Amino acid sequence: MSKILTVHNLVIKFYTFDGIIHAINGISFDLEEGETLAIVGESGSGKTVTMKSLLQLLPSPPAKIEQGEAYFYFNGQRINLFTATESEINHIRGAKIGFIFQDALSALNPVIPIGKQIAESIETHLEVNKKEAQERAIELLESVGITGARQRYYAYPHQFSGGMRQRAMIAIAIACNPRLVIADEPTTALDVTIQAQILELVKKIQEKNKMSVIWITHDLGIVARLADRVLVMYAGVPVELAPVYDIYEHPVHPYTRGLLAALPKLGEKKKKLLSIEGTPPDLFTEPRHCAFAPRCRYWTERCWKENPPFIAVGKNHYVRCFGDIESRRPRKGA
Amino acid sequence: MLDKKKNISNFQSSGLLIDEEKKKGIVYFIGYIARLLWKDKTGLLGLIIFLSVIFAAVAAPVISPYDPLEQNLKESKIPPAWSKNGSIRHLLGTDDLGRDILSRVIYGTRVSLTVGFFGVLIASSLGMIIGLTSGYIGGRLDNAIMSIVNLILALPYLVFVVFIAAILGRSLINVILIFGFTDIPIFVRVTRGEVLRMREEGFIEAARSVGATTSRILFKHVIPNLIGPIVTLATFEMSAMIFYEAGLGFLGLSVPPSVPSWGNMLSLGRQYLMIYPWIATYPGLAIVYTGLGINLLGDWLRDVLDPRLRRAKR
Repeated sequence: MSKILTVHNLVIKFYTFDGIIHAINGISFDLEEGETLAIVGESGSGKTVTMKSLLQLLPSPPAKIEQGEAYFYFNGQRINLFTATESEINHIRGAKIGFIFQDALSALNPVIPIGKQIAESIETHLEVNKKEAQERAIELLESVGITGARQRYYAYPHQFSGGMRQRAMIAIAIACNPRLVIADEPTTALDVTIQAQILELVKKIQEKNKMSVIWITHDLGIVARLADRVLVMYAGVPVELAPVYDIYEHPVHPYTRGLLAALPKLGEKKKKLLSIEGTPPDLFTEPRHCAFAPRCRYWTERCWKENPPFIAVGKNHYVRCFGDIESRRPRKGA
Repeated sequence: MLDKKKNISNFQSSGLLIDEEKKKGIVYFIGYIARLLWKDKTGLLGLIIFLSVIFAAVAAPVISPYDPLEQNLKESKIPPAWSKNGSIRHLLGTDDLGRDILSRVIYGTRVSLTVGFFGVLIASSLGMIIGLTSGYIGGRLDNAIMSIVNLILALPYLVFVVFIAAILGRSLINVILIFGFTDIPIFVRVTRGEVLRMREEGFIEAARSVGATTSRILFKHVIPNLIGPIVTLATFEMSAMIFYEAGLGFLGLSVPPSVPSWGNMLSLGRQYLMIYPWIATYPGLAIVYTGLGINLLGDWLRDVLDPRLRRAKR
């Protein structure tokens, strides 16, 4: 098992008219071949920004990668995704790293047939002629479960249903057999039955092509189904990184525990749903202390003074928290 | 690299070759357009009118009873055929120099269509290029371009055009160039607006995420989306240019006075409006007729080219 992606100390800021947004404040993680990493967090926690930065898809005047490296390993080579030139990164995009967008309807060009949009990725990266690209695109449509693929080749995005569009997006992302696919909440807009089908599909493709997957979601159900490891993000920092079993059975960070406690469970009759009090911080101020402290039930004085480091609390299990893991007692009255 | 063996599925495909599919498409396409026109009969009317004008322009030498430049002072100022002193020989009468009105109206289509078509061609191509650059690159270049565009658009158009025409003098080329260049800002603004909208949509970002280069994105993604709005705008601008040519001609600033243009005829006919009204009336009607046709066609095009309308294509 070798690593295919290592991200180290990534800091991203957005320079806007209203001030500087400290979107990502130091994230590091890595990814093995064939592994599925789920990135979990609220809206605004920085999941999408981190992933888009890997393909240099962030609009560069407001966004700026202040520091950090991201190394992608393929064919025995190593490339820093942040310092790659436009032409280098174009060879990575689509060919080595695929990206599935959240909203398939707006991510597809409305005036170009779906088949052609799939073929575009193939034509760009693989040395095939138009006819072969067409045939491959039809194969891909079939493999993602779209029936009547040959006729559907010429259909337009608005003629597909939501689930089919998302499958087409997946087809585009995997068209050139990339080593890594980043899926940005692809099933958020779909109903659960379609969602289940898409999850099965991705798993199947992943097993067949030995692909690594980074799946961004805020749905812990999906995480349980799909992930090998989980990275929990809050306010632009990773707060917990652990194998999926450990996240569910032994969550350490108060935020993770809060998230899991907030899940309604079948068969449990409770009058009130548990939630984490408070709201995420606005990212205009540079974080000088633990970002979660205002909402944390286990805070200590130290949490308000410094940024906690990312420490290991178990095998492959990291947490960004001060405080004693063993004696986790609520600070103020429950 | 590419595994050409079809080992993906045991799925039954339709068996139709893709080329066959496409051919079926082309014949089908024409029938599809015909059905669309029939559904919206004003569009059909517009097309018919427009085609009749084109026909008149092309077939002018054949269908005109007289040479439009031929003067015949003995037959001057004759009213249309159905009036008291009219004559069958001149269906719409003659002007003060004895030129046949009907022939001049027919030949006038040539001037109007030429001005309209080439003017719009210049304005739309240059306007689209500038608008694409402005919208796609953004930043300070965009600000600079849009400042200039807004400045030009803020000027009173007719005054502006008249001013330039007075300086440049009367010729067909000048009229085409004037309209071509003064109409660029409108195309810039529309193109830029569409490009900005597309950037928000997300498929441009998606195309970048599969490694498309900027030029590929522009040619294969952005421009196909621009064709609808630009063609529609071009149609309406063409009609506007025909009206403006008439305006220029009325002021004596269009093509040289001997050339049969509707604007010139209006200008000439104005002084005789109370005594020989037919000299100005029929070119005027021709302008309205043509403008109506083009506008109806433009309305239909606008409805038809909107890709978001959910209609079954096959």
